[in-house]
Amino acid sequence: MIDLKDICMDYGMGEAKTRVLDHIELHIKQGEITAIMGPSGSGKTTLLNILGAMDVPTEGTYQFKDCEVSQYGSKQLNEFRKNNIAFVFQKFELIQGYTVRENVELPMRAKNINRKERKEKADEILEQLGIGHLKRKFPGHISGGEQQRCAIARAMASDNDLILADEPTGSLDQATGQEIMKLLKEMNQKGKTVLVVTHDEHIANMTDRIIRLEDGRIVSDERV
Amino acid sequence: MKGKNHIYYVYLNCRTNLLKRFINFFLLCTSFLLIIITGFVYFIVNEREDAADQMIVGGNDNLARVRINFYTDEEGTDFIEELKKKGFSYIGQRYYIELIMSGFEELASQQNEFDIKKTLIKNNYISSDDSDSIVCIPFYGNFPQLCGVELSEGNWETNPKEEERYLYLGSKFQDIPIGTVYYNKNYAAFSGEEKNIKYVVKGYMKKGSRVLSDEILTSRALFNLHYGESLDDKVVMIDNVPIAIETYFLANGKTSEEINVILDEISQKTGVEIEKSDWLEILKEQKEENWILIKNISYFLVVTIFICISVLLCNTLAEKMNTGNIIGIWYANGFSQKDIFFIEALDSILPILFSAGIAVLLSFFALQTQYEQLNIYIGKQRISDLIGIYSKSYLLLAIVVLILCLMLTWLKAVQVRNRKPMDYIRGETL
Repeated sequence: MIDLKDICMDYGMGEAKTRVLDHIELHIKQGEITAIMGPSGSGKTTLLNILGAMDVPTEGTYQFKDCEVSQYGSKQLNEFRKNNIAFVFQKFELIQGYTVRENVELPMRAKNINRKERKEKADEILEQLGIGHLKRKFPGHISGGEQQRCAIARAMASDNDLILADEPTGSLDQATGQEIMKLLKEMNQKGKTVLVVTHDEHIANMTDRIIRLEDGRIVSDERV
Repeated sequence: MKGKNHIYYVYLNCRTNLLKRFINFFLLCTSFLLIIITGFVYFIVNEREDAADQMIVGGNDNLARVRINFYTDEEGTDFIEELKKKGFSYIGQRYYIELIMSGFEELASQQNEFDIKKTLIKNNYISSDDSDSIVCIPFYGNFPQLCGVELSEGNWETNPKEEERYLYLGSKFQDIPIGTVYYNKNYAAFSGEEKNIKYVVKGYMKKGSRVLSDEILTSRALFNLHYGESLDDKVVMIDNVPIAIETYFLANGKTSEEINVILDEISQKTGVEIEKSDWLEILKEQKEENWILIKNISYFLVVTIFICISVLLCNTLAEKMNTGNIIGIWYANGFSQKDIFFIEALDSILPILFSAGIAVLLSFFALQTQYEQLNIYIGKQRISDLIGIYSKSYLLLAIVVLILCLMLTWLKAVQVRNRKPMDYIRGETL
């Protein structure tokens, strides 16, 4: 599904130039749940951003299914992101001024899904994640775990194949973190490909594969 | 993304920042209202100047303003006769007395036989548009005659004493017998001393007296020029004409220099002390006075627009600094750059257009109400191109709105352009 060949990513110019990703080669199959681990500054989030078409690599090729994503312009990247990628962020990244349901509806609005279908699907997902009763609340009025569930509901609502989770349990206590991981695993079992960036070995061990990064290079790639 | 979704997110943005939007709306609406009203005043002042000039001398500059300082009845007659001989024609004068109706009203209740009082009470005023409804009280009897105001019955006579005045009525009041006497209380101009004045009907003016109509027209045009209001709801009397503050004569085909020479000659010959000036000078003086008003209005306008734009920009920037990551979240959820630009641009433009719409409505009703009270007349005619003045004011607003919209659209375009979605998530939005 995902093929990264010789991916490099530099930040800055001239002497200030820093190589964050250094000749990354990676292949991820459809339906895998993979953890990306590594110390701070090892390039985990950058790699996730490239996979999510939020950033463009300096060198190398990124192939998603049959698409050459690294050749895309910003318009095509937007389209690619809309149809293939769902994000779950460490700090949830919910819009505080929108209700839980309005947040969940975001990707469906971007896809012009009609009102009836949108509402039904949002309500169904929220019920499924056990936060249906919070749909009219604002993110500021619910707990961290509920906010992360809302973020996962949003990812589910997009119905995209690749879910990229950047430290999804980083702002949560261990028990809540485990629950969130269970949700991600459930999504994986429904056929979604999930990539989780994490520092936490327990979380990583809940996935099928662990990729370790150090100084922008893959230092290990092992099956759990 | 469909347009209705763009609007929906504009609505959500407004809902999220309700207080800021309300402040923006209030400031914008007030500023726009001020722009329209000041624009309206500015265009009216210009229109009034041009119309008064056109009305009085048809754009010519051969009009003399003569300020007569002191003369007797005899000298005054000679002076005006001499002017006529030299080809000057009388235009009008700037002198008005408002007839206080209350006294007549009292009289009406006591003496039912006088129909005029009923008319006066019924209408509360005699319209000066109608030359047949004029009440003329000449201080010097010969002056209306010299001005060509003719009587259908009776003779022009000079008031015998201060407490007794002669009334010459418009043809509408011919059913009031000559010799009818009214009493009315009056107050001395300086001492405020109360006096009981006796008014005696001495004659009727000819129906539709052209000269009289011209007189009123001119007077009104001059009054408009100086005071910006008409005497439509006041009784106009030709009173104390020979000692009128300013009297205007048209000197056909003469230059300003020639007019001066002639006036000096006549003044010396008749012994009438005068001060003189020509129309261009009067107009120039008035334009200078108006220019001060316009200048102040313009300063006010510039400051208003500056404050309005500053507050709007500050509010917009502050809002974006606080909520910049929303754009990143939109990107992450499949919104395109075009979608975000549309939402952001609409979010800025719609409140401006909405405020402008409300300001236009409010100003329209406010000016409509005020307009009736202001009586924006030039001479006899109401300003015919009032719609044009409204249009100009609204055009002025449209220009300001357009500049604001373009500025904010450009700002949004810059804000959204050439930034990676992650920059927004990280908060690097500016």
